[in-house]
Amino acid sequence: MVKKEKKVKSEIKTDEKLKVKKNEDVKEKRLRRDKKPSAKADGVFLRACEARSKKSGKAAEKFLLRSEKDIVRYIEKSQRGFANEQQAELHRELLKIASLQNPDADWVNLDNAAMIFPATDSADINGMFRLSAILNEKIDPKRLQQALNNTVRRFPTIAAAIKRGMFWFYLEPSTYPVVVEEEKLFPCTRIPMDSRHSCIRVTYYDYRISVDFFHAVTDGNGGMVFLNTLVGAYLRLGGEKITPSGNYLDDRDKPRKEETVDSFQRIADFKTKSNHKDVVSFEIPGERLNNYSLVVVNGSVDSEKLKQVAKAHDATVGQYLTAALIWAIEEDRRFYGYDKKRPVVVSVPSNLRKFYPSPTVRNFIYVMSIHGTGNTDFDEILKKVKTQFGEQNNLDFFVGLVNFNVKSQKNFFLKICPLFLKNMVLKLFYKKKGSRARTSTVSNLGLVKTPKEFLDHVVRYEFILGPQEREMVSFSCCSYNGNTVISASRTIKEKSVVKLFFDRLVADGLDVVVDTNCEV
Amino acid sequence: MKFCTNCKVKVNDANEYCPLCGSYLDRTVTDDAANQKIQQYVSNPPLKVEGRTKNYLKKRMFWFAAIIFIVCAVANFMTTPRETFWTEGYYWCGYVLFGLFAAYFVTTVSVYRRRRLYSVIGLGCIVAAITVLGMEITYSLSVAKNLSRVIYSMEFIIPAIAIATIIATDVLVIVDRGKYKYYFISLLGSTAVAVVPQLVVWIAKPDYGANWWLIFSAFFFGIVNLLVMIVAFWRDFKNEMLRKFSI
Repeated sequence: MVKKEKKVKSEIKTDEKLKVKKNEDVKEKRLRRDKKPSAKADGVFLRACEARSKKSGKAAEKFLLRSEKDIVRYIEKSQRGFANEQQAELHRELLKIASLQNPDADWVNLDNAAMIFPATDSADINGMFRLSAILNEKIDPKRLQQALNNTVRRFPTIAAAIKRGMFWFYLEPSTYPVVVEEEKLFPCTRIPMDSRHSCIRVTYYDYRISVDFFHAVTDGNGGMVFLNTLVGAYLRLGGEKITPSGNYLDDRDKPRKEETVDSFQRIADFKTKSNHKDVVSFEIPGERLNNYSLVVVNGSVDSEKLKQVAKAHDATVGQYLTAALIWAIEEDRRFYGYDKKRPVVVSVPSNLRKFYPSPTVRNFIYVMSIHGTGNTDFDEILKKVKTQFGEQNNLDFFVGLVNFNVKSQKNFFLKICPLFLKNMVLKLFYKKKGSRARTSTVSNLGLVKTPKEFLDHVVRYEFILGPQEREMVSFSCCSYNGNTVISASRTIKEKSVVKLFFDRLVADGLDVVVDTNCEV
Repeated sequence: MKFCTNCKVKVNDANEYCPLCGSYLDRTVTDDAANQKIQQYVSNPPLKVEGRTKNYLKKRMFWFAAIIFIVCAVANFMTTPRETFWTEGYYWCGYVLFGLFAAYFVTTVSVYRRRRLYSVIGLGCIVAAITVLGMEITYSLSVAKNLSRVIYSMEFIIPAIAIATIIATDVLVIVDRGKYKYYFISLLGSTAVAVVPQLVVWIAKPDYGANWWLIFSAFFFGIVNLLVMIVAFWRDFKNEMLRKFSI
């Protein structure tokens, strides 16, 4: 009995000790949580919020969306999911700098070419592309964030969010600021389409600054202007003096209305007819990678040598690369014995600014469809490519296509049709016709024109196309400082087409240096 | 830089295998200083293909709801004698249909599209009105085989939901004054829900006896409230309508 009593007493004592320890643990956790620096307690941040809230009546009429409570809630929410306190602290500081971002712009309609992108947006068709600049110094995220603040203010329509109206999509400044992130995801990962997310994503990693753009806000040319302005602002904040020239605009300038113009409306004459008809094209077979995965292989070649090789074939660089891609796909098809019924069709975007000079930074491109010959004779393929370039790469051809699209946009019944119906029809049309009309894409951004001060800091540019539903492999290229980088992005495991393409270049005497973002 | 003997290309040092053919890279080249100078700055974060997958929430919820309804409809049909299905049958699958409709639009679509509170209030009002009306129509068709029993939803429930939503939206507009939000589109939706029962009464003239007071109150309150809010917040209203209804 006595022993039992002693046992019970000792058990009670252990229980009490455990309870006390539990209470102490709970108290400690509470103290740790309360000790965490909260944004509210930070005087600098509060002052920034106060300064922002003191807007004049006129500015308040415009789109002032961010409130102090929203930002604080957003900061506290975003503290979760960081590997260590340092990263969380850095993110907090970046958010504080980003809170001073104030695009202060009005809403705008989407341009004619952009309407297809939000309607067909999904994980595997996300209409995104990436432009990157590699510098010769490690990127300072805080300086980059400050540069981004200035650049967003300069280009409010590019850093805008997409909103749904009753009849059309439109752009307006996002409710949350654009914050730079360290690159952790695959390129061109989809950006959620809501008012909290801008249509761009700015990331950094080591020496690289990357900007992922949603095609609804800009094209490659406009995106390059944005990236160069961002890089210029970054260098200027580091003490460099940059003279505006080429594709660089001063970030301190005010936004200009002519840069947000929909130039398609201006070139449409409603007279020229289009004889172009899309056909169902060959689809490159392969095992798809997970959604959100995009494997990129970059091949660097000397720009002068590439021009010489193209000239040796009596073609331009764009024609030569298109022919090389068609040859690679045909060779791959022949080797594996794939179906030969459908033609290989490669889409080649063309910058309409060379036909119709326009200062707009929004979409102003149109796409040529270049057909293959059905065989693997490179010279024959190149000849056919040159013929098709001659037929299609002119203003009349593009105006014919633009007329059809602008006419549709202005059609009264289409205008009053609710947005959800339009989206359903567009999505169906795109799935049945649009995406099936192309096997792949070759997008040549050409020479990146930068101020001379960039030469001491920027080492290389990269241009990467995002995933498409049926285009398993896409090629894009840009040239800078004598170096052309050809990026092959794919959403399938098989790399035979990419290999054949670069084999073609090597066989023609080019010295290729390759790198990849993921070894698959 | 490394060199792939198979492809005859140079490869960045960070890559262990050739990106083009997958060969293991054990040869190096050192006679290309220009490219080496560029490649030393080229680096990528560690990425793995086994990443997150697509968000199938909306699609899966739609098909889940569709399958549940089909199963319930078939069960409804099978449990009722076929000869009397249209004359005496009880159409309980209608309740399931409207319940799923409400669940899909208010929860799944709102979560998928990351809707803000103000738009969920407006949408919730419209969806709740349709759901309640639909359920009462189902009851009326089940019991009386006509619409004569559609009473309580039109007399009380829909006007009450509309009034509550209008008041909630007004409070949000007034509290958030100066900060631009899309409240007026929710207010328009709620006002439409408040106005429709009275219009039905005037057009269809059902015999509700003296219980039309709430219907008329909701109608009157909705119209007057909308006019007052438009006048008081004209600029916000105008900007919002221009954005939302731009043709």
